[in-house]
Amino acid sequence: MNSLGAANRSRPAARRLKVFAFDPSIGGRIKTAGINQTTLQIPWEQDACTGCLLPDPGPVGEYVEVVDVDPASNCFYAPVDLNQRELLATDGLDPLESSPQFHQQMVYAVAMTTIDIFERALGRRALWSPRRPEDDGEKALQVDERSTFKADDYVQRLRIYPHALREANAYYSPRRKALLFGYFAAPRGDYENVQGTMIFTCLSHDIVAHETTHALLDGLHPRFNEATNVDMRALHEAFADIVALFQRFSNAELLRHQIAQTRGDLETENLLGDLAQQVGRATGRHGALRSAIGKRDKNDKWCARPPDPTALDRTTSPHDRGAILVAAVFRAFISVYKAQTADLLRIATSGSGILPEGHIHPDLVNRLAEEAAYTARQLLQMCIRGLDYCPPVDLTFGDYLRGILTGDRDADPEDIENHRLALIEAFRDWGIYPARVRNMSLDALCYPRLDDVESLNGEGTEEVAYAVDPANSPSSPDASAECSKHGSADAIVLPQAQGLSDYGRWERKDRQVFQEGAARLKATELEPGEEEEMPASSQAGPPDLSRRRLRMEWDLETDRKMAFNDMRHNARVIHKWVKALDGGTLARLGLTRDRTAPATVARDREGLPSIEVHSVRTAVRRESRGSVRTELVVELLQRRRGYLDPEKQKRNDMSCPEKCEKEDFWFRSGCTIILNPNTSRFRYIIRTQGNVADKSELARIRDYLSGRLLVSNDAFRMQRVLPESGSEGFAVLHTFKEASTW
Amino acid sequence: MVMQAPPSGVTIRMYRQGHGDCFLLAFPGKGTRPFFVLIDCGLCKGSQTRRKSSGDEVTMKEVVEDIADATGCHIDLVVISHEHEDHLSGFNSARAVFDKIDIERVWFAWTESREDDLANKLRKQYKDTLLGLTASLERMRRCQDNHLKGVGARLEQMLTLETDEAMSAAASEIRGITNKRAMEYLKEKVKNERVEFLRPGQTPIRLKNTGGVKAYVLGPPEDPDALTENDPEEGEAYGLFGFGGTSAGVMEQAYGATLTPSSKWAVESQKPFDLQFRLPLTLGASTQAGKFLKEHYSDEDWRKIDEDWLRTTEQLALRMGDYVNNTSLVLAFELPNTKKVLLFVGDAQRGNWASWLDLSWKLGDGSTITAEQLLNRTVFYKVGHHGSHNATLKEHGLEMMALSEEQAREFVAMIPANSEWAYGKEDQWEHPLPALSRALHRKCGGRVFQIDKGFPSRPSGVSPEDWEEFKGRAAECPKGLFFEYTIADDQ
Repeated sequence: MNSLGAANRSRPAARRLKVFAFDPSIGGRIKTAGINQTTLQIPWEQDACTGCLLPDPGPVGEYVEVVDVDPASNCFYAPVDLNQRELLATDGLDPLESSPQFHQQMVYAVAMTTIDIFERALGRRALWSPRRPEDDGEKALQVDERSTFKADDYVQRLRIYPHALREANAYYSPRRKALLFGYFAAPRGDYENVQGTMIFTCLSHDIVAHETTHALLDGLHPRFNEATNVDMRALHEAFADIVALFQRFSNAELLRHQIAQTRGDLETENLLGDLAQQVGRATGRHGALRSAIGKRDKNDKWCARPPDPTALDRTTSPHDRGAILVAAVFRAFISVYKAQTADLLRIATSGSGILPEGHIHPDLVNRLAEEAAYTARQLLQMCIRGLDYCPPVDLTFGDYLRGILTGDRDADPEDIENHRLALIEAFRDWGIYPARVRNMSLDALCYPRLDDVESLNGEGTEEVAYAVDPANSPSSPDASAECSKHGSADAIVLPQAQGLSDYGRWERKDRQVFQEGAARLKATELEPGEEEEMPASSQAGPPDLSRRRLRMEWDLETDRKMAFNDMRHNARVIHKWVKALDGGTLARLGLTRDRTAPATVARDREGLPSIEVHSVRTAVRRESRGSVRTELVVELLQRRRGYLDPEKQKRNDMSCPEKCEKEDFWFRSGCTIILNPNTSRFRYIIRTQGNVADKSELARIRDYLSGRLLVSNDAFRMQRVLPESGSEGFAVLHTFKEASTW
Repeated sequence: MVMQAPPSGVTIRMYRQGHGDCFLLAFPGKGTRPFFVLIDCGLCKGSQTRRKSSGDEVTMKEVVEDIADATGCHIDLVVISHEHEDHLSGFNSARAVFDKIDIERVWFAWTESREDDLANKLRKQYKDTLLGLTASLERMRRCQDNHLKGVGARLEQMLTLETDEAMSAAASEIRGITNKRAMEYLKEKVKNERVEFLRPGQTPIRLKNTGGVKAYVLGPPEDPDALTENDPEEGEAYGLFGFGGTSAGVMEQAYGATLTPSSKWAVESQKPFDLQFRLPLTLGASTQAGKFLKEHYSDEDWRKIDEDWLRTTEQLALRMGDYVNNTSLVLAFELPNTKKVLLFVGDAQRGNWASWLDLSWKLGDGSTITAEQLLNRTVFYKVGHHGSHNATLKEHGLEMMALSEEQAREFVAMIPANSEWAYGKEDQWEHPLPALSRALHRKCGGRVFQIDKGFPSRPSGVSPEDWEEFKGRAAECPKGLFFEYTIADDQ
């Protein structure tokens, strides 16, 4: 490849690869034959050191490795080499169902596209979740002491097995850091599938994007696959669907085709709102596996699905609940798209805005398609970016909405196109709203900015301190003015026991503590390696980080291994710092270092409740005039052994930490902090309810877990759904035929 | 001691052998001899109950000997609800005692008939599935992965229930498995014309010499989707179990060389690609592909997926278990005078229950009776599947029973469960499910018998007089072998 390098030193931006636009079934219908295949442009991969072209045969690239073994057929399939000249010249292999090499190319291309979308939204390179040996049944390590991140845990590549299973199933295995795709013979004929022919889940664009998203989300939030409430699993599913759904809007050809067919009205039946059509039909549904806009009934008649604010209350199944979240996001998309294209329709219809019968003008199709693509991209970015603004565990759809809005406010303060408003409206229409928020205004839904409160009121004045404290000055006119200005005074959630009356005080005091701490964090410059000389924090008195340095260079160009190591380094720095905070401050972060905490709370070497620095990552924020800031997202967690039997819990709470019995589940609690290193301020503290010693939260999760046993569909082994400890939970969830809608 | 039938009505005995069903019914018959009906006789392996007083086990032999005594070695009718160990094992383990007993007639569900095409087809698929599962279990036993070992252990347990065998490769000849042997034993014991295969909705059967006791057949449904719990709403038509690919793979790898040509094609048709693409996993590193395999799929055991595809076999086994439960023969016995109904549902699950509501019967006098009416008049309920969560429907089941005030006052339920054993198992079975148990106690006003529990005690809301009246109709075997309860049928 030397000649290539010599001829042209600037490497290409993208590699072009052919894939099925949806899945093979679309090509079998005359109506859609033209949009059957598409060419994806994926990031050009090249080894930074050697300059060698990637991916290697497999394909094996920087992010993923496709290994095509098929144990059920007792064989494997030769890896495709995408750097063969013939393939470079022809955008890869032609879409062929009968060639395993094309399957490899397709999973690689689609997965890389999804990764690319994800990275662009977050402004940093994606990492897979580190390997946790305890998932293999090995003895769990003291996570907090060595921090979450250990060098040998780094997993460079997500592995993809395109033909791993013989069933209508595909899933992400967190334990193996692998995607497993199944294939199966169509169990009966319909107008797309002939009975007995092979259906490959790895040839469904949606399914590949969906599963890759699971892996990406797991890399971001490994604890999101612990189902501690009715929304967690659903959120994982919904998020994966949202990515899969919006990803196809980047396919211009398809978009134009569908816009022409629907005459621009994306609320009528169209392919864009449907997920996994072929697998859906083959598994006996009358249409796609899931749809964001409507579905076909038993008689094959398509009907739209209007928003239903009570639907969420009526279902507990992850897929049904997830579908509601997807529908809400898609509804927001539709309303922005409509608002953005209203002028185009007026222009095209001499002002009436009402389209005449028949086809619409190709120019209008193009313009509508552009708007749809733009809006889809924006909403998808919002949905991805919102993940940085979520509590580290146990979040609900409402929390996620708050995360999206807060994140978007930080990234795009203006919001000219009213994306945020559209989201709020759509979520409200579907009955999704966060707990403990006074109203559904943007103001109340965004997490309060700690530095905002300040700039409005002057630093630490009594007015601020007591303005939001109804117990102290309930009648003060200032107070009510402040309250309404900030909408949600209790947005930073306090431990329930602490009560609202503490609120004003903690805000004031903590802001000081945090700013001092953060100022020290920032003001530091330190040679690598020097950190070991630090005195043990317990003897050092007040937290002193003056010689520490956080590494902030994690963006789209960073070497991923280095980003991982930096994260580990930052985690260590933060961990020491957090451990040395005084008890009051910790309490306000939703953490405890109280020696007298229940014995079931996990301890560190000093016998104090341990704190796990779960993740430290960078996030990009755009100021109102366009300048870009990099901020730090820190997740802190504590955990506690939970038992399904309340008596057993009581018994173990009272015993001593070394003697606790094997837990039935882990109860985790903590916070996400967003820190602005440039202004040395904490911008947000996003907490879970209560802290790890909290009885009522533990009881809530216990009730959830034990309640779930009763709805299991398995006559014998109720216990199987418990506790999913992250290993293969997705496997059960994803069996298409088992779930009611997927 | 010979069991007596009441002057009118019926006496019902629930034996307390362990986690399983064994019921003996005595209707007034010809002369002084009652008409005896035995419904099932079995228990799960290892689930024997222990007597509270002495701590020694109740044995199957004791139970069957008691049946012989009670009936004077003559049973008028044996009903087999379905082919599971916990309903059948007694016919094997106490075979010698049964040999002494005369059996007049045997009832099976239509699914056991060899002359029914659908039954034959289902049985063939069942057999294939079981073979596949057996092979898959063998393979899981050998693998190193801890997660899969757990799956294997659970699978083994389920297969034991299906076959009553210590599973091994030898069990591949399905006809020889113990459950089947029990069924065959009964079929051979009575003469052919006295073996009947019942269908839902068929004309109600009058029991001879009982003064008009009628048996209505409610299940199993003659609809494969209902039997396999496929939800027709979602249109999931999957063949019987829908795991053809996995089964074919296991079969090939277990029995490759011995497959018949037709099954060879069945196996081949489940492969995704033509022969030219398939490379052996043992390919040497001298070729490009072999080198790739060595580099990317030889170390790092934690990322390998060699056995993951077998994971579905657990679901398959569960589906199969549900299916067999759903083939349960469901009978409603109607007493001639008061038209009170006794409901025996075997282990019927959702699909079976849901099918009853479509049933109705034209009676001789031109009137019509519906399954719902039968449920409404039910005063005795044999709780389905040891009280598991999906074997007693709520709105379309329990809440429909004993509707009149009078019936509600005498409504009684019997749960054939050894909960101590079921809950104590390593992988717990919630038999009975606490929520269901509570609902039954509420509905029955405390009149609930459970195999491993003592005689029911009076709940606080029930008056002592009412309770005394109930106690007058019930009895407990002093040796701890059974509970007995009598329903009167006086005009």
